[in-house]
Amino acid sequence: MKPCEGNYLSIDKTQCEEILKGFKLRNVDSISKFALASAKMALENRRISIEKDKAYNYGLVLGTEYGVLNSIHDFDMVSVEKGALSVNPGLFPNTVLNSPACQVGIQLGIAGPIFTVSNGVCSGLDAISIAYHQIKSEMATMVMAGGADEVCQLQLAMHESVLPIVESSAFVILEDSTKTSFEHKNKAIEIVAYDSNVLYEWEEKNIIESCIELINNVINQSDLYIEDIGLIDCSILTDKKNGEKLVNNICNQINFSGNLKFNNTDKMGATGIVQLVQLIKNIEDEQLKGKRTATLILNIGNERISLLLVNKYTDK
Amino acid sequence: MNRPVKERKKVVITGMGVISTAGYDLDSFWNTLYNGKVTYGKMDDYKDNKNYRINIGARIKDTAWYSQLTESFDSSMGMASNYAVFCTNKALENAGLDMTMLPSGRTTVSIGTTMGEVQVEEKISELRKQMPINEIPHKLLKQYSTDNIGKNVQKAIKAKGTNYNVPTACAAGNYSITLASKLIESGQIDVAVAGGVDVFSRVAFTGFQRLLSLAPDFCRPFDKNRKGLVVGEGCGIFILESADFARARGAKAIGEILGSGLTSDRYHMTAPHPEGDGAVRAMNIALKEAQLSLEDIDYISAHATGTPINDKIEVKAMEKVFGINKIPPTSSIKSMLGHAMGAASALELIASLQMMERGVILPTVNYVEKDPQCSIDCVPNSPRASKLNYALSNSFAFGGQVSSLIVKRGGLL
Repeated sequence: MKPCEGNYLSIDKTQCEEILKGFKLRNVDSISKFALASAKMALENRRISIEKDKAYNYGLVLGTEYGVLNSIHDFDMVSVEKGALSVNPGLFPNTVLNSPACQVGIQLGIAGPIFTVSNGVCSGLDAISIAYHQIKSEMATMVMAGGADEVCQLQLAMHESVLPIVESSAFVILEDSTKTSFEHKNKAIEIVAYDSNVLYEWEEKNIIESCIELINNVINQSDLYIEDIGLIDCSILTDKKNGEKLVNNICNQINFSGNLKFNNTDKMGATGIVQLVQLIKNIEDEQLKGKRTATLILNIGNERISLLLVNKYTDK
Repeated sequence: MNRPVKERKKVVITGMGVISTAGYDLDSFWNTLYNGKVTYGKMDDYKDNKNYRINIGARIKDTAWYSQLTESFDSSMGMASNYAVFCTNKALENAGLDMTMLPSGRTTVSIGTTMGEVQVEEKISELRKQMPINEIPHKLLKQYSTDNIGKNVQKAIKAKGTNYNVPTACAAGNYSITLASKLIESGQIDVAVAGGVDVFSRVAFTGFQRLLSLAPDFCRPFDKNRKGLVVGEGCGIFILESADFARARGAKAIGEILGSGLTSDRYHMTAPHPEGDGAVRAMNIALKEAQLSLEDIDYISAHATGTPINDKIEVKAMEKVFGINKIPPTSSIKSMLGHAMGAASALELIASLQMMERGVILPTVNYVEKDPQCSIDCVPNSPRASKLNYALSNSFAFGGQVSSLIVKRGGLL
């Protein structure tokens, strides 16, 4: 794989500003705005309104691969080129890696735990896992799990991917189904299980072995079988041909006969969240109407593998 | 809201590793702090730079620890990763664990930081003055990702399991430890490597300078004439285990994590909530989870950075929780270490556990004049013998991220 050179799509900043009308956003950087816009839309979609003077036990987890790299670099370059006295102190908070998550928290009134997770392309799925554990351990009653990444010149020089890069931001909302009454349960997804690993040697044989092990782990954590999985939704940071070959190899070894879907863009830290959002939007499609309603979301890249097993929600 | 204690597995701390301006082994760390030694001072590379009115910082000068890393790791990693790997190896050694004993698929790495591999970005910025971006060595560019820190730790210990890099600013240590401890409590994992790391950052030093938040001479928590913080660096790593796992292998617990409160002020990126809202809730959540009464807390490790506002708000919050004149003895080792950013809460937890083991409260040094708005027993200037069973450790971060962790003194399992 080679560093990317200019092959990317960016978010329409005008549309983002439109969504954020009414917010006070002086000195708030782009990535924070992206995250805030999608978080706001998620709350609206779920019809949750937060009164800021009340400390609801709501949490937030934001996954991001590069985070505030652009803000750090811009701040530092002013210091290096013109001297420290030339930097704008109002921009300093943007250089702290947790800044986007906290900006969202401040603007939306999140009073519970706020996490940022920086795990490369797996950041989004890993954010969901942290949110999931927060609900299970009763640290929060509702957690917003999101992913956001922007593109900048320095990042393009660092990033390795053969897929076109896409600036992205997305959020999902996780709640304990036994403690929440909500409309449109037929549009809800249940988080069933999660697992992940870091590989010491990033070779195809090791990737396949680890994926199979992780898939077996998540199956064992649930009351599902491989036959219940209708779709494996993959995001792999390699070219399409090699990615498909790798996943087909895995599928043969675990006797998976369902559908496969491959992402053809690299959404960096937002990848897993966008995959989940797209799945939720397609929840009424044929695949989820049938018996095989479970989906495995698989992210492979940056020497990491993360996977999330989800299923169509049913009242039990 | 809290699950009954019997449903939660006990989480114990069995090993610790440290790199700081007070030393890179636990004894040196303790002895330096016990003797009240200030470990920061003027930085030569800033003294002639007219852009910096203040050039006091806490930098780790002793690189003797460097030789203990293998060459291959050293050259491929940024400094934050180097610190984290070194401390992890020391923590495992301290716990009496070697890599082969880490349970496969049930070991988590959870590392917190404020600025990540920021020194890599700073080198890149310096190179950009001389060359275009596409000529910057790719090997250097690859070192930047925050993702590398947790990955490098996991690769070093060859553990199989989940891995989290959780940048949560100055509360990073407490946040990463809480994340790991919750996974153990729920039975998801048996062992975790958790802690916080930050390297000295020109970006942070410049930013705090421009916010007029730096101390011109010393960090003076709670003192009437306190002027600000001292930017520092360091790393603190812990081995957390389920008590069952630790007991089965005959390990001794250095401490036990009883409760944690993570909240958000939802107020401002740099200023704390004026009523200490997040801090009050965090301490109360931690106390409730730990199932302790206010009187049980023997010592508080304060966040206390030495800035006029932070220390005042922290005291206000403690008064709301404990009652005026009922706050336990409270000290801030930032008076001696400076503010190690994402490593601060980890270093403070190491110190708290050492205090409980030795029955001595470390002091808040540089304390000269009482501030009526910070009227607490801050254990001024000299260590104090005291039996300590339970300690509460506060850390508050940029963005209003607040944390409180309660630990119990260790012992046989």
